[in-house]
Amino acid sequence: MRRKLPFLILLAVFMATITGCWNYREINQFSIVAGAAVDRGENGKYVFTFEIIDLHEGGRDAKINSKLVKSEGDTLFDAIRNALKFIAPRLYFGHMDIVIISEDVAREGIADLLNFLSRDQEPRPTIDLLVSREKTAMEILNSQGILTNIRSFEISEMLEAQRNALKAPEVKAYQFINNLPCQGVAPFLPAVYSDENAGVKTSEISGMAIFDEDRLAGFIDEEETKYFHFIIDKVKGGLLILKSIPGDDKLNATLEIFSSKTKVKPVYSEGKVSIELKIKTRVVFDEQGSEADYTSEQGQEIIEKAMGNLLKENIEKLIKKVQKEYGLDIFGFGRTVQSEKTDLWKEIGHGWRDSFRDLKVNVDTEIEIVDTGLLSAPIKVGS
Amino acid sequence: MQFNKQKSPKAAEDKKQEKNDTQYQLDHSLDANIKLFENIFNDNDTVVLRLFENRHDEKVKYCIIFIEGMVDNKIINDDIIKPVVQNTAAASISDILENLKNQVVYSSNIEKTQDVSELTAAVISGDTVLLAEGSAVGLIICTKGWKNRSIEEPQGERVISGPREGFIEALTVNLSMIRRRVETPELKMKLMTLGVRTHTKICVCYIEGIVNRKILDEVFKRLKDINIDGILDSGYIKELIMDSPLSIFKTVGDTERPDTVAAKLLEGRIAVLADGSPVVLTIPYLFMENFQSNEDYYINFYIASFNRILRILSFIVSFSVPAIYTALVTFHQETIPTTLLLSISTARQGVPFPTIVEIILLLLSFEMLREAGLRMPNFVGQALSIVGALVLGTASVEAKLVSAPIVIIVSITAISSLMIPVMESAISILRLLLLLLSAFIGLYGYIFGVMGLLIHLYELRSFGVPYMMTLIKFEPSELKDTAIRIPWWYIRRRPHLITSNRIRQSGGGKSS
Repeated sequence: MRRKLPFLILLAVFMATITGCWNYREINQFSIVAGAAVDRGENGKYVFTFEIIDLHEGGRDAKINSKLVKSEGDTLFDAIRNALKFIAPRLYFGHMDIVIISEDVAREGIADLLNFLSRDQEPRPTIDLLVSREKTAMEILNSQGILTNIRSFEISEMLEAQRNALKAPEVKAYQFINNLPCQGVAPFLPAVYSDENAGVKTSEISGMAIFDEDRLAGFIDEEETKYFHFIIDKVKGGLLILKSIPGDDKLNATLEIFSSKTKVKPVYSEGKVSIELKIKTRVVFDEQGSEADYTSEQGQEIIEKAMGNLLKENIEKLIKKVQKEYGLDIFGFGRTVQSEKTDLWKEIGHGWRDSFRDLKVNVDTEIEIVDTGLLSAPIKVGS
Repeated sequence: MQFNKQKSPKAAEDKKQEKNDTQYQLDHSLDANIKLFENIFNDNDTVVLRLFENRHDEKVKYCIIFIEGMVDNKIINDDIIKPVVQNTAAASISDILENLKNQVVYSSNIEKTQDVSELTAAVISGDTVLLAEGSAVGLIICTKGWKNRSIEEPQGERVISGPREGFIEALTVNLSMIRRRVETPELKMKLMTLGVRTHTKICVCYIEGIVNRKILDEVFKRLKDINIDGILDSGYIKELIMDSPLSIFKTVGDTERPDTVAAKLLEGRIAVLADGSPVVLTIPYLFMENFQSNEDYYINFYIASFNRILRILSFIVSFSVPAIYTALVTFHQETIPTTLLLSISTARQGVPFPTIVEIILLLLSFEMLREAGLRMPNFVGQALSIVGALVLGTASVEAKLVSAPIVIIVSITAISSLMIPVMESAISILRLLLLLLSAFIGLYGYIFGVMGLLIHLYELRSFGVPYMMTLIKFEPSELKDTAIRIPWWYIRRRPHLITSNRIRQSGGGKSS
């Protein structure tokens, strides 16, 4: 033991020092990328624009800002390495939050981007992907944030906040990738515009892009996106608006969604598959334009019925539209069939794209007003 | 890695010196005897040889030998010289010293011997030797009397509520403090002498009937094996009898509080006291005892448990935080939340040193400040804290020598390590080791370090008792007094392995 001890100590020391510090890098030796935009340049090369965080030297009141760096390359990684032509510290993607894809690139297919994002060890699989509806994706990154200096982080937070507004879905890279090989569901991404808000040139997320495999097929607007959320059972909040009902055209009622549950049930009869959607939504009656009193049970029932019908109508319209225009099962009905009727799926799975086009979907909605807010009767104006 | 104990087997060398005294023999002539002692105490000017005669018979001559300063002069004057000088029966008695011993000298502790080495030892230890003309024997009369430090609260182990007494340097006083707390004849105190030159008195205390005989025998065996020229503090003994003395963790406890010692004795532990040291050793000592304080048992058990958990937490924090920080900042930037990464990154802009250098620099300067503060008089200590806080903390950050997060990390480390002063030295070393491991291979190294630490801890033994005893197997009754301190009425048994007599409270402690 006493002979061995010095050797053991030597061994430990050499093991630690001779091997060097693999993967060692100081925190200020790289530039942190907050977000990236992928465009296709005129010469056919990839144009990568990175929003990198600009860390000022300067003690206590240092402000964190961001700057844009643009670089071109034949492939995505090539474009990333070419950024070193312009800035010294290596780009670091460990904290990248969003990747905005331009419409052009999206239409060509984003398989190589997804390939890079999942192969490289730095980018997280939880990156938010978006499709730019402007000419380039860089414009979006170039937009100003209203509250924060780093637009990418804010866009990512905005997407997360959409669970209370339902204007656009939040899709992480891994979710998109997981949907790709699946026959029974078509992938989708949120869409982003650049916009002006109170004098600030900023960007806005609204609606979503529908993908045919890895290629962009089309867009649906933000109103339709809301109903889309009902179908895929991702409603955590948001509003339902009932403009008028027969007998009260000034109603303009707002119902805040408290909770919502959607049950998707595939039914197989007479050699045909159909889907039954049962949507049960609990809402709070928050706002109304007319003076009519709907706080009574009968009154609430009127609103519930009317809203339920409107919701059903809109959902059916959306499904019809998607079936007719794209024929892409973004709702994942196919996946539901696959998981609930596995044997059946083996027969019809390969032809799902065709059968989706004329898939019959029965929508059943049920709205329940659980609360009328702090008022027991509407506010009277005049008289 | 095992740290084996090693002891020097060279024993007999110093024995020769001692044997020299045996060649001296007491003579019947007083003058010869005086010559003999003058010879022994040659060049020893503090030794006093005082000659006097009987008032009634000047032929009856006496000599007392003592060391100035070691004795209580009042005892010598009033209880030895006075009665001996006035003794009327002096001339007629054949064995004069027997008479003096039994009828004349007022002393509770008196002994007759003709062993010169014993007499010499007695003089050195502060007793007085009385020789008489015509006798080849001497009387050893207990006259020890020197100044002791008064009993104070130990600086290192203050309590808010609880006894304020602390041990002092005098063994007998210390023993009395223990005895007063455990008033039972079962409390045994075995004296022995250690140190070839210092002849330091050692006392082993235990409670018969509770103590584990095997551990006790082992303690005596190891104490007897000690062969060292001097024992100036119980720390010498601690190091000499400790298992795995190369480990950074101590497997022998020490305290300056008699109440702590009494409590440990009642748990079946053994206490070792050394004359001249206010620090008492307790054996065996387990890992969990590092986190226990005597006050835990005097205050509300909720607060006591909370404090213990806090101490364990701060133990982990104080050796982990610098290592984990370094690993995260230099290897695993992905694991840091984005906003935190940004603020750390901003703080590090313009700092010239790598993170590891920064941390080691600041940690070392903290250790220096701590060490300097320990030995400084109080008024200099204040200046030190100003230098520490202002120069190290603020100025170095503003001068961009170190980044602000490092100052915070080192401060957290310092505060948490000061929470458990018992383990401070162990933590300092551990912290540095883990830090270096993390600096080389990131969290991987940290995990390896912690695994090594656990393996080492579980391997340790304190006098045959596993160091991590309470953490080896899950036994609810063993856990009652570990990370938490449950109410007294539930602590009915003593920890096993330390003692076989485990019943602490028969029946329910609480009337319910």
